[in-house]
Amino acid sequence: MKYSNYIILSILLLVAVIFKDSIHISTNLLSLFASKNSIEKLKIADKLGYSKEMLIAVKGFNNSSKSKVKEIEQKLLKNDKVISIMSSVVPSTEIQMFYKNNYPLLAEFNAEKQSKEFIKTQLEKLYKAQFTNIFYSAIDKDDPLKLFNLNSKNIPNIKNNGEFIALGDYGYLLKISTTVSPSNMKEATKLYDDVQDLLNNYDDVVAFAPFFYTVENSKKIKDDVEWIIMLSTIFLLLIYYLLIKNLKLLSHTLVALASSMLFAILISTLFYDEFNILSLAFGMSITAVSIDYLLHYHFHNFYQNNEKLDKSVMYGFFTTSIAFGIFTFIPIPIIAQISFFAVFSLSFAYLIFTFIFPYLDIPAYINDEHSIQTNKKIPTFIIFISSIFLLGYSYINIKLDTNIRHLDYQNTKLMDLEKLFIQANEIKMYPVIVHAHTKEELLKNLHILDKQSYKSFSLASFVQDKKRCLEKKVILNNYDFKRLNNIVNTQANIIGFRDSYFQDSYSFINKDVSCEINDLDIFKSYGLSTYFDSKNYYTIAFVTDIKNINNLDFISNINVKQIFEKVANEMYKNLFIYSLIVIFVIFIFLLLSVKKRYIYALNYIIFPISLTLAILVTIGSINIMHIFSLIILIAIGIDYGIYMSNTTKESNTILAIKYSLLSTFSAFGVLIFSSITALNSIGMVISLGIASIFILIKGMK
Amino acid sequence: MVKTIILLFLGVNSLFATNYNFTEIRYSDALDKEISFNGNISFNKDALHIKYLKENKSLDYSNDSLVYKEDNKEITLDNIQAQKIIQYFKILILVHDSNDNEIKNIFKITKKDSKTILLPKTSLSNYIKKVELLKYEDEIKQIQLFLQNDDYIKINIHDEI
Repeated sequence: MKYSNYIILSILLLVAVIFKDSIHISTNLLSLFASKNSIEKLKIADKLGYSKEMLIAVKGFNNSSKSKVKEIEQKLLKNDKVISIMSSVVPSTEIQMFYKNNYPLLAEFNAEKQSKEFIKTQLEKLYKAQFTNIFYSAIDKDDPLKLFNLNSKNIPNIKNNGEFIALGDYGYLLKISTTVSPSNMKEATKLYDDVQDLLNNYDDVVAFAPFFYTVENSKKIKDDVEWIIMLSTIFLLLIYYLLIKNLKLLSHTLVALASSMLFAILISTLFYDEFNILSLAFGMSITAVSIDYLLHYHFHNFYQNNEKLDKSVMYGFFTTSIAFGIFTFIPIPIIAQISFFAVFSLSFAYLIFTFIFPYLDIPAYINDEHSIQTNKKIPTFIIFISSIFLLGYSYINIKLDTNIRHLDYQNTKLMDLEKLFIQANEIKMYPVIVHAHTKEELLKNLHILDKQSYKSFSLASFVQDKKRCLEKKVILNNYDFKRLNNIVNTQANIIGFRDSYFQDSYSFINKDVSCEINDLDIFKSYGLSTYFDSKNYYTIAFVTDIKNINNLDFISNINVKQIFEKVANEMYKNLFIYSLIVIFVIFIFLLLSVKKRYIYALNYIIFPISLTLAILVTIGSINIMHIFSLIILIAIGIDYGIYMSNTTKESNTILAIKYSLLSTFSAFGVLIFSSITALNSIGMVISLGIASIFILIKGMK
Repeated sequence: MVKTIILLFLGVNSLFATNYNFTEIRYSDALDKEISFNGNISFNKDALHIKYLKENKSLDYSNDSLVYKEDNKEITLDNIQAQKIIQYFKILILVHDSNDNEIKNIFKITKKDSKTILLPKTSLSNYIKKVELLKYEDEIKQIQLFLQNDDYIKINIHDEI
């Protein structure tokens, strides 16, 4: 029986080895925050090249800058991850050919029958202008009457300085389409390194791409997490050894914690198709909180007293498990997964610490510490009223941060660079995905969108839909261009134009030109791609105001900021509802477990939360990680509230709680040293919570 | 002393602006005729001012913008037309400044005696066949633009004013 702890771990390890192929740990962090629908949309946006664009700016508008642009362009084109580069406002040869071939169909056409007098007047004006206009203007021998008019299409937020694209007043700009999406770490790192190597040879050249965040931040996060894990491990080992002062108990504790974590991993990966690595890390940290069961047992010599159950620990365990159990139903994947893991790991740890440890021959705790008792303690009701007051203060001043990006490592250098590129955009445009079953329908939808939105940029800016094209074709086929040509030539001769100068006028109208939509890929350099997923065609359109087109069922908003804002708002709403349920259940359990000292026990939940929340709202806004950490704080507070209310040996209970708090600080509190906002937020809440509980155990009557 | 100051003034002035009288001859293939205009042109740093005396019309290009006046009254040009004129003026400024580096970015340069031929390398080739420059003692005396529609513009630069 004395080896049962090790046997349990061995069995679990064996099971893990046998089922190792079924254990899938996902690293897709997006799936933890965004809904399946949003992720699908973002995947399509990824296929359409959105967020795969890289921007390079060369300072200045002098010759040296121009040479740099050309050199960089040539060198980058050799990189296999670069699809195309736009550095000039001159359309590509393919686009020029498209316009040339489709000019009569694309241009606005004045289909009125032109009278002989009108033609004569127009040609006379043209003739006279050659002598009076001080600036040269060419005569269009194909369309001297200017019956066709093709408005030039301005690409939004593209400014030029001469032929080159400019980034405001900063300098020249290169817009590069790449194959690299921000989620592809390997490819992102390769291209990032290639670009940095290339740009190191040039002064005054800056580059930005969304995938730069992936590369730069992941390195910073990795370094940060490594440092935190090291710090936490050192703290935990030191505390466990110094506090427990018994190598045997320490090794059994570590084995029990490992077994609990392994058990929870096996159950969680069996239950979830995609159990996330972040949930795993969090869940493992929560497991470390279960050490408070052991410490309580140890300092009260539970293992030596032959008692079957310690009611305080049991109530504490049940309340915490039920709180996490309720959170497993929350429709926020990260919280549901962590809670699921916590229920199983805490339950397993509780069972081992309660039913296995009594058989492990653990030496008794000898009480050699005498805590100094002070008489100057604050009455329970004052703490309770203060907590209510602090909650009220927090409610009035709370500001929720819905920007999930704020949780990431704050790469200020890259953020400033991003700002430099964004600030040059005069018009703020938002991307939307437009879908349809066929290419024809896709263009039709784009034209509907174009009409309905105040300002838009899409393939509809260049290509007309089939119906309109066919209508135009009928108009052109029915127009008598032969008559027009005869009158133009006759009148031109009379006026004095060179003989037969206009002989080919209006013969450029090719009546066999097709309205079939062929190659839309030629507009890729403008960021307008199409994608077919065997069911639907997709493309991106840019609009200035999303509200105007919300009623169109063929569009999906893919503005990451807006998607996450929506997700965050839903998260806060769900968290609020579930927290209310959890708090209600906790109140009932507290009532059952502590009865008389109800308010006293409740203070261990309400005071840490209200004080922490009040400090947080005073120094800034509240993010999703703050809220989740407050829930962990509830789980910690319940146990201590019950232990302190039901204790018969207060000094031993206080000691157990103090050590337990130190171990919690080592597991969670050290995160306060992290420079990643998400982790720092957890560390901040837990550290403040631990400090509040210290105040309670020392200062509450 | 007075003479020195005057010379210095003239020297500094010439650094900022050079003024010439010119004759512009345009050949229109549509009319099969040459049309000529006279005026004066002044070059400043990245700026150009042309005044057609007889017609009392002027074009002012500076800070990347163009102002057109008829009888001293400003007239708005449509954007496409203005851009074409600006492009044309930029070429004149480059040629006047003998900005070889920049010219090389846009044109392929061949020299034959006193004649320099510039063949456009960029999208300019859609409109311009070639530019011919005639120099005398390093001073440009004639600029000829041959256009794709068989028209040409010949500018004869007379002595500095």
